[in-house]
Amino acid sequence: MFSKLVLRNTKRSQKENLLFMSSLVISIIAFYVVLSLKNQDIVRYIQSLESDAINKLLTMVTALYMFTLVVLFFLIYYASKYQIERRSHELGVYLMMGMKRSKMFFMLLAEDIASSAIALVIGLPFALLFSELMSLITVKCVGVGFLEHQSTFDARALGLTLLGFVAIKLASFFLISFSLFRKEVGTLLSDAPNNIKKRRAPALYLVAAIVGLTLLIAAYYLVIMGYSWIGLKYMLLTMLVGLIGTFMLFWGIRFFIGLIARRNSSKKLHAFTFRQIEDTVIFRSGTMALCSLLVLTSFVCMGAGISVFTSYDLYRGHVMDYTFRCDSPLTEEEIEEYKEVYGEEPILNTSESVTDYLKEIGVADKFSFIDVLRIGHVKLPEDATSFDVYNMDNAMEILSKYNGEFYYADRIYDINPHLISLGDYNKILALAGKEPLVLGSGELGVYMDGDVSNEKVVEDFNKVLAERPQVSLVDEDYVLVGEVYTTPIVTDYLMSPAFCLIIPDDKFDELAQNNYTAYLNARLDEDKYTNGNIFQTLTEVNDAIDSSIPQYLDYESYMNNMGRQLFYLVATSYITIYLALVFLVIANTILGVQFLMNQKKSSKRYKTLIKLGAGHKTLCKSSAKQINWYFGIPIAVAAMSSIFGVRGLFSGILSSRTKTSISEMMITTSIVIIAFVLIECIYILVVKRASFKYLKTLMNPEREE
Amino acid sequence: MKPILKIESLKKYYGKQENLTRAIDGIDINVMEGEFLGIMGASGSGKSTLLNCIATVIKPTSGTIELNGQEISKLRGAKLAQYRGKDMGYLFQNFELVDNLTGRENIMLPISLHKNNENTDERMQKLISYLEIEDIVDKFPSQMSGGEKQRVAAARALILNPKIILADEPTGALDSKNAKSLMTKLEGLNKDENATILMVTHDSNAASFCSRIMFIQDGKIFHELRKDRENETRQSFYERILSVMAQLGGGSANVL
Repeated sequence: MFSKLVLRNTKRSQKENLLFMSSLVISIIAFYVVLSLKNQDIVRYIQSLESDAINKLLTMVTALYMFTLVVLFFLIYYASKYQIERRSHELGVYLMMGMKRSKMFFMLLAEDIASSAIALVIGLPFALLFSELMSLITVKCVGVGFLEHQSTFDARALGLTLLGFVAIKLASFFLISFSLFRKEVGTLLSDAPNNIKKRRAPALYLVAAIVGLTLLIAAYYLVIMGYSWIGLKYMLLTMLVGLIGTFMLFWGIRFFIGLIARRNSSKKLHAFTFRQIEDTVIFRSGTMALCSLLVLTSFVCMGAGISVFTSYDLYRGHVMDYTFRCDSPLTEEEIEEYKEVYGEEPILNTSESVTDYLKEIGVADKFSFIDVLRIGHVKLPEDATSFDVYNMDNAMEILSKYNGEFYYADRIYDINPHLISLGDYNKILALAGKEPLVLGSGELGVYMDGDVSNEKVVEDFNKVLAERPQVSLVDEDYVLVGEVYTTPIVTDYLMSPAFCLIIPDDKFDELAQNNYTAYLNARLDEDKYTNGNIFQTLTEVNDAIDSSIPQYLDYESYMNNMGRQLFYLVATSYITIYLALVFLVIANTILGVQFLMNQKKSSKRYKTLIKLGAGHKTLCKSSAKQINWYFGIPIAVAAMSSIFGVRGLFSGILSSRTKTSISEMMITTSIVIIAFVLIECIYILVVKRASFKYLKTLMNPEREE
Repeated sequence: MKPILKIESLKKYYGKQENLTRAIDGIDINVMEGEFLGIMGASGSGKSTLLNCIATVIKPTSGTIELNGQEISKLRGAKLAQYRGKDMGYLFQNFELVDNLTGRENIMLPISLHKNNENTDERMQKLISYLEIEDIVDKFPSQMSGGEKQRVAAARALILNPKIILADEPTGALDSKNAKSLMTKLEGLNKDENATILMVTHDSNAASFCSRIMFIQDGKIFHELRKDRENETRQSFYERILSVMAQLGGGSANVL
């Protein structure tokens, strides 16, 4: 009998609450996708390039999993609460009939387990499919389609998914039953009436709405003008202003709804519909504001994620494919010294020996360019007491005009700076298709690492160079000229120094002598790419070099660089899009569930309307309108904010990372909007369906004795 | 005078043969235009079933109910909704005001539901001043007393000028002072506006405002009292009602 009851109840719950079921299924998919992330083809590939990525990824997955656990707990909690609350009368009846509380607890627990099992049966195949599809699609999008596809199935991920899901399900169950069992039977039997909230003077709400809107506009201004990105303080200020603004706006919005409610309209149930909306706005203004913020976050994350993914340029600044680090040449004395210590001639990887080696293993002909670049320092005499050979105080003074606190001074100011010879650098400029640098006598050029975070430094320093600042190098005066050069001098950004002086060749030989490191740079011939795919070619060449690597040859291929960038790309876009979807689902579920709960609480009002002769159609129309408004207000506010949020994001952090044309932006934005509208429509439809169904149950207006 | 509501051999049975409950067992009533008819009876006598049948909440087993010559069990769709909302005004024991609408918005509900294009502002003003609810009509139900709520509900029942008002224990939730004031207003509406009222009650005091009273017992008409409007005081009518009520327990043999 007991098990029959459990089964019947579970079956009924499935039928009645699509919203509940879908939130369970979504949770399962979300868990599995995060946990099986490291089995995605693209992630495997990155791991093969950058072993470091494994650790980063594992921390990322763990953090994301924990976060998802917490967030989805609230989702399930809300959804289950609604599920139980709508049955409170029924549960009260069980108790009145003498069911023990412990028995009822076990009944509910059994039902919970049954519904979880059903959700798992539906959700897991979807999760596997989803993860598999994601793996296939991303590989195609990134352009590494030649990778062999491997199944993303992961037993450990599956186990953790189960564990996480069951854990949050049980936690929310115990929390809900705890509050349920403390209620008296009478409270369960009667539908809890809405407490009447105190109504304040309408002017107060109007003021709150206006202040809220003003604060929001202030936040938008801060974002658009770029103030938010100056520092953490401003960022926090912007967020605080935005948050307070949103909450105040939602608190005050009842004023306008009240106005609409009082307006005369010939529409059926106009006053009732808007009083209902007003009610939800009054009772749930906090939740609505929260949901609006969630939707906003989701919007911004989605915008950022998709635009990073679609517009990230893996080939940005791509000039060289390989850099072989050659040993510094030794003087006669140094060779003697080495012989004395080790008893043999030192084996040096000179640029010639490396070139020979590359020919030997048959990859040299794949290159269209091989040449040396020397990076050195001023060679100091043995007995030097001071290393201070360079003075750029003049330039730094000018720089401080453009930037009050020159916090990057120690990055670019070195008392013995890196030197590059002009001839070497011009070859690279030529390879990159740029005009060569010409230096007059007494002139020096400036190279800076093109690392993205330094764009502002480069910009500021260009202003300094425009004023032709005086510097001194080994007791000679020079003028810094031209613009800052950022065309990379080696394959990998991370290896290149932050600041170098470009000096004429003869000066380089004179000052640096043998105090330099030679880098043999090479570039693959684009016409000789295997299958026209750079990834594949790089992999082949790397394999050839690695299989017979000579002693101490230190090299770097564009692959490493690419691996890092790819990791950045994949990690950023995965996390942002994932979070966007999770936030969106949560906001919508909370909105939907709260609406349905409210509707149930105001069932008496609907019953009165039915007694006055309102038909099901009329009530559904009113309900549909309420749902449109209830979802519409937070989404509209979020949409308004997101226009500024996404723009702010682009101007703040993305602009330097991505090269985005307007048309690409438009495509990205349209994709986001279409996806978003689609998701919203589905949610609104589901909530409407549930609402109409509930109203149908009220339609029999039997007179109560 | 012609009957506005005509009920003929109305029967409502519940259950199967061995276990048959005759809630209404052949009732004939003619409600005349402008009449204030009271229906009295103990709990379980069938008066609620009768009211539910008239309000089209339940379907009778047999018999007919006609309003203005239109048989209401044959009404469907829009016509049924029109009957429920427009032809009939319903006054509930527990007022049934929508708690998040102001008094005025509650009174407007039938207009809003049934899209009445007639000029209702005038009628609204008239009802508000007649029922003396000017001061509270823009308040929410939670800010009104029981009597005020019922007067607002009365205005709502009357706003579309229904052909008949069904009042279901309208004084049931009121104290005696408010009950008296409400009944005075209903009586006034009946006299001045010629409103037809059918009231179910078991409060003899409230019933004494009626012009005619039908007593129901076990699903059948048990007795009928008619007030002599010109010559009889409410007090003496009340005493006659009381004596019938006293007999109700003892069966028809004891009735005067």
